[in-house]
Order: sequence, then structure tokens, then C-alpha cells
Amino acid sequence: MIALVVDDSRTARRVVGRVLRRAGMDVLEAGDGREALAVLDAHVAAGGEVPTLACIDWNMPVMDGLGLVGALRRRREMRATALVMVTSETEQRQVVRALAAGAHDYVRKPSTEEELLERLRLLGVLAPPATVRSPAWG
Amino acid sequence: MGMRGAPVAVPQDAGVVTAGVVGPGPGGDELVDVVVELWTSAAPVGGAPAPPVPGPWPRVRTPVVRALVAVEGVAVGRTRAADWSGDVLVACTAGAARRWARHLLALGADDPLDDDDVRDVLGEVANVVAGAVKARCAPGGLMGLPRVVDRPSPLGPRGAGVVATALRWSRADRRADEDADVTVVALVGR
Repeated sequence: MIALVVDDSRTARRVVGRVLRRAGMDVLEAGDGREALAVLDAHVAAGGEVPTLACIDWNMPVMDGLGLVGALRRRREMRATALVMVTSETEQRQVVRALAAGAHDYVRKPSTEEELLERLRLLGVLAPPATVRSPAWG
Repeated sequence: MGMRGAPVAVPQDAGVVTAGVVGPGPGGDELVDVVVELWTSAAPVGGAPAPPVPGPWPRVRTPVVRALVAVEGVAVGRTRAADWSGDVLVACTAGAARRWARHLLALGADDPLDDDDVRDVLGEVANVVAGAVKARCAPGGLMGLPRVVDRPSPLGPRGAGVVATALRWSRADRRADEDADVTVVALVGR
């Protein structure tokens, strides 16, 4: 199972990526929306599996998370991919904007590993169990 | 800004949120809320987080790493509603910065840790604080991307329009002439 983690913070990518790898996923990383699309294209062109999950930050240079969610939603091959915003943008109306753009869920920073994994279970990305508490914010 | 809770005994190597204020400014209560939340959920604390306690402003001599995120056009403060623009500042002593980095990157005490990692972690901590501050304010504000400055400079922000709260770690083996590991979180108005 493949996950795409997009965040301009290397720390955030490492923390979220670590949680997902522990959950058994292979992780692709990108530092902004445009790079994410390029990474995705290269991965799929090389015969790679379409990601099951994309964890996307909001505030990024070049192309932000909202733009990336819209771009991914327009891709036919990404229709089954769960798009989760993992971001410090926690204002209520921003959550609504993200969901309206096509995000399936919204995880605010900082969150715990438990919270992120539980959200992924609720989305059907992961099956139970696993309960370890450590920072999972990105 | 109101102080929260009474002073408590602090376990060694545990953290303390010092609910101190530097300078007048709106948003002190919100800042303490944000810092306590950050502390509870993400800070590298040994044992249970202690409640915020009033205390003297920490004095340190070591160089600091500072991360800033601009927040624009938000009304800050439960008691004062006004447009506010400025920076959310997270400033750390070198020791505190490395504590954050090792904790968030899940590195052991002997694992290598380079300065780029430390800067990136501090930028991310400031980003999280800025998001939480913005979420407590009037809708429609904007926040920028983190900027990290690691040239030596004073730890505590000064001047009008500054609200700051400090987190500090006590350590059993700290010598009397060593600085504590301190993180200052501040709203610096423009």
C-alpha cells in the first residue's frame, strides 16, 4: 500500500511518514503540491501502484495543499485515494474549504499517532489495530 | 493575562510552563492556552506535563534558535478585539531546540542530529503554534510560512505589543553555571 506525504517541512514528512511506515505503508514524499504531482506521475509511469492515501499540508510554497487536493480530485486514477489534510490551519472555515475542495478528512497539528491511525481506520485505509502514543504531527 | 494554577513541585527533567508576560498586548490568555496544548500533546517532557505556573522570566546566556511565522489581520484576545498583525515567535536555547528535534524526530540520545534538522523542527513548532493562534482568532486571518533565524540573539522578545510565555526544563545534573533549556513562545505585534 502506498501513501503520499506532502509537506514543506521535512520534520512533518518524517513524523507522518514514520507513522505510516509502521502501519505497513510505503511512503512517497514531496515538499509542495507541484512536486507531489511530479512524484506521483513519475511513480505511476514507472509502474507503481496508485497511492491509497495522500496526507497533505495546507501552507506550502509553489502549490498549496488546497490546490493539490483540487488537482488530485480531477485525476481519474486518484478517485479511490483518500485525501487527508494534516495541517496547522485549524480554523473552522478552512476545514470546510478543504472538505469542499475534495478532502476526505482533516487532521490538525499536533495530533497523536493514535489519532492519525484511527482516522485512517475510519476512512477504510487501514484495518485495526495498533495503539502507540507518540507525536504524529506534520 | 491571568496566571493559572498555583506553583507546584517540578519533577527533575520535567517541564514547566511559566505563565509570564513580557510587555502589554492582547492575546495572553490565548497564547497560554496554545502553549499548554502544545506542551501536553507534543513537547519533549519527561513524565506528566506540569500545569503552568507563575514564575520568574528565565535568564539564559546561550545562543538561541528562533522561528517565526507571520500572522496577519486577526483579532487576538478574549478581552481585547482588535486587528492584529505580527509574528508568532518560538525561540529556544540550543539545548531546548535539540530536545524538540530529538523528540519529534524520535531520535535517541546518541543518534546524529544536524543543524538543518533542528531548524526544520523549530520552524514546524512555530507553524503549529501560529495555526493554533489563528484558529482562536476572528475568521479570515492569514498565516505565512516559517522563517528560521539561528544567529545569536536575546531569548526574550522585548517591546510594546509583545506577549510571551516560557517553557523550561529542569534537569537533575545541571550545574549552577549552566543555563536551563528554555523555549519562549511569543506574539510579537507589528
